[in-house]
Amino acid sequence: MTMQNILEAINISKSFRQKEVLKNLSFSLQENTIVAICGTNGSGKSVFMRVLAGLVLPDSGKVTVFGTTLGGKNEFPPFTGIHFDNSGLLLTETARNNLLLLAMVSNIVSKERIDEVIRLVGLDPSDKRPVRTYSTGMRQRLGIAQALMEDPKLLMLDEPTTGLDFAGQDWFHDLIHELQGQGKTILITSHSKEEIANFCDQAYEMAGGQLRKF
Amino acid sequence: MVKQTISEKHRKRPTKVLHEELKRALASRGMKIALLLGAVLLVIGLNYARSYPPEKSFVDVWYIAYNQSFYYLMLPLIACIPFADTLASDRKQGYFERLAVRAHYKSILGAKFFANAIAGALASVLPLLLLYSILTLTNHNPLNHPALNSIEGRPYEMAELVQLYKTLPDVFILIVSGTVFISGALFASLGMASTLLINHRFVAFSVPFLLSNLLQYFSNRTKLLPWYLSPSELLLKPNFSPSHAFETTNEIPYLFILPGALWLICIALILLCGKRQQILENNLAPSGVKRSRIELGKLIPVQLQNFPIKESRLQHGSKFGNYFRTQLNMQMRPIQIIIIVLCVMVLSAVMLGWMKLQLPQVFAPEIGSAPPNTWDLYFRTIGDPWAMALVTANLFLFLVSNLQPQTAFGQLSIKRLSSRTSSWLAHIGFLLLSAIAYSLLLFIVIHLTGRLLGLPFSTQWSVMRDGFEHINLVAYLTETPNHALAFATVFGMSTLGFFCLSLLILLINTLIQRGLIGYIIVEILLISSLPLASLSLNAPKFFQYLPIIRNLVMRFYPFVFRNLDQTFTSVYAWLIWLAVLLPGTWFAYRKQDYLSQPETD
Repeated sequence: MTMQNILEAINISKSFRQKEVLKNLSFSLQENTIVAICGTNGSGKSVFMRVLAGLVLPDSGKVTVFGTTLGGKNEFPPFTGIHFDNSGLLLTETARNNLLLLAMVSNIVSKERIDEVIRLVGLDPSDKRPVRTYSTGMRQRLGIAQALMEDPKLLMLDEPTTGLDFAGQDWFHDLIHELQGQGKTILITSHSKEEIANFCDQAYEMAGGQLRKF
Repeated sequence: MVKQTISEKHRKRPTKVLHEELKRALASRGMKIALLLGAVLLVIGLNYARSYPPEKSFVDVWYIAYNQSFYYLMLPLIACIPFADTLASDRKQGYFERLAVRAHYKSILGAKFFANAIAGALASVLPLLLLYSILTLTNHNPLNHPALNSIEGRPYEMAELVQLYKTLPDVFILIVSGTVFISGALFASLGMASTLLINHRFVAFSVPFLLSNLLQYFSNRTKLLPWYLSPSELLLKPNFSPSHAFETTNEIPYLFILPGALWLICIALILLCGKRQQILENNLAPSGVKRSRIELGKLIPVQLQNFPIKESRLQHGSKFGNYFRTQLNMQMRPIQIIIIVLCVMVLSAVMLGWMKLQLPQVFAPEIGSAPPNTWDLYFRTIGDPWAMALVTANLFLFLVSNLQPQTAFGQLSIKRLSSRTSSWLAHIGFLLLSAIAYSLLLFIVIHLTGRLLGLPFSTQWSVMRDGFEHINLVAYLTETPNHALAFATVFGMSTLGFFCLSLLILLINTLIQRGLIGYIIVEILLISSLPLASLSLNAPKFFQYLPIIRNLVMRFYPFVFRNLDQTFTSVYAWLIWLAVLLPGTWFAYRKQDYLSQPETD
């Protein structure tokens, strides 16, 4: 069976104040794979992920996700869950309320799904404590939960294992394999070469604003 | 612990730390900005001096420029810009910890405070000394020309200093510059010391500025505090203001009370909040030491932190409508509304006290016509330019200043909304609704406070209408049979103003992607517009309405009188602002990059 590309980025360039972070970069992502991008701090991994997620606008080039080219009316990729380098949570709210507020915007998630996804990441939906009291690992789990909430076909996770202990990392690796089993495609960034070697189908290294196979 | 791995001989010497901190402070970008701000203010003052008789001597020009530029109001900000925020930023970036393992803690803290005091003092005084140098070289007019004797620019109440002004003007200038130097050092130190209590850069700039302006307001204008607590007295501003001023040599010691109090506050903050284990919060604090940081989140009851979220909205309504609701949930908190109500109540009470102080005759029981009512308090409170700049508008702008840059949570919401334009529309709607709601809240709270303090509610104009300047309305508005038109005019003007200023904050924050900067810039523009509005007395009409404050309040004194045909000029002015800001913010939203942002507390 031939797998089709669900994401294509062609000739992406992006500069911040004359510093060229991404240089004419092209990249494609096949359906139902786990692909990692690694690189040193400041190499541009997160910026590239944000370009793919529609959050950062490239200076040139185009991004196509599930046949939809980003730009114009289609500013953000469809069927995509994102989780970036911090969990993006309201610290004064409970875990459930955080997801509830986001689910209100997407308008396709039920209460039951919210509780289910909180349990899936090992947290308690009835926990009344504000997220402020959570550990870094718990916040990471909740961040992953919000990315999974709408049951997306593509997951973009920026350094998802940062802050997770060994058990948490094992849990995460099991989770992404389970998600791959459900037909999902996962794009992650990571600093850990071991993680990339053991759990990813393909890996790329970001250096000098370019991606090369790892 | 890291501390123990650095041997004593490898520690930096205190003099080296001090040298480095001084170098940082004096060569900082903030120092250049502060000097530029000081110079710009003095140029405004010099421009004002042009309207004085041409026979003015160098000391006349210098002193007019000094006091007409409202240097004394802006001095706390000028002093804090160069270096006062670096203790907070160094702590947040971990630089302070890295210094602390290389030098003695007390010497670092001491060096920082010393460098900050010197930088603040120099930033305050150098523009004045530069002006003095230029004037002594260029102005050779004789001293004490009688043409300026009746001019308010010259001091006439400052005890022996008046003689110095006339006979030894260089010494007089040096004395004034000395007070500016000391005040600059004290305000800069207060800014830095405040960050020991609340570790935020914004605190370093805002605490001295707000404290100074509030002291000025309560001691000089409302007289609720003693005259010697007014910064303008300490800074030897001429005393044509309604304040008491010091008139005899015996009163000079009183002038040391304010600097003494500022110094004591700084020392108290350093002693109480500047202990090593309190400051080195991360890996250098000894284990088991309980950190006594103030965490606002823990002080406020959970019920007051957020409004409840309606689960029933799930899978109901439109994406846009629900996004708008999430914005409300993110931006509005019960505790904020409570604080606003309390602040407005206090402000109204102060205004009423001031009215009674200034116009005791209209509150006398034997008065023939209708006594003052809650409408008078409303128009007085809303129409006071200082209260508007420092409290009323300030509270609103602070409340809505954090819409941009988008937080990490906000970015996740926008991704789900799938449209930058819809996000912009929701934010514009939020700001407009907030401005309307805030103006209504002011109306209700001021009236209720008036009732609580014994003022009647009436649909008829009171005795205060006769002196319409006391209620800050133009004459024709008080001639209408009821308050409806006056209220609609004031309400529309302030609501439009709040909306436009919040849009300006939104635009600045979106363009530079930094929180609070927009608020600080707009607040500085707003406060600066007070002296600018006074300075534009003889300017063409167009320029009279450029200072922001003129379009927020009806009041004419100390501004230019507003004629009947100019009543709605401010509304037109705000509409022009809107014509620029609405497309400007839309374009900025469309083109902005959503970069990494911290979590939202």
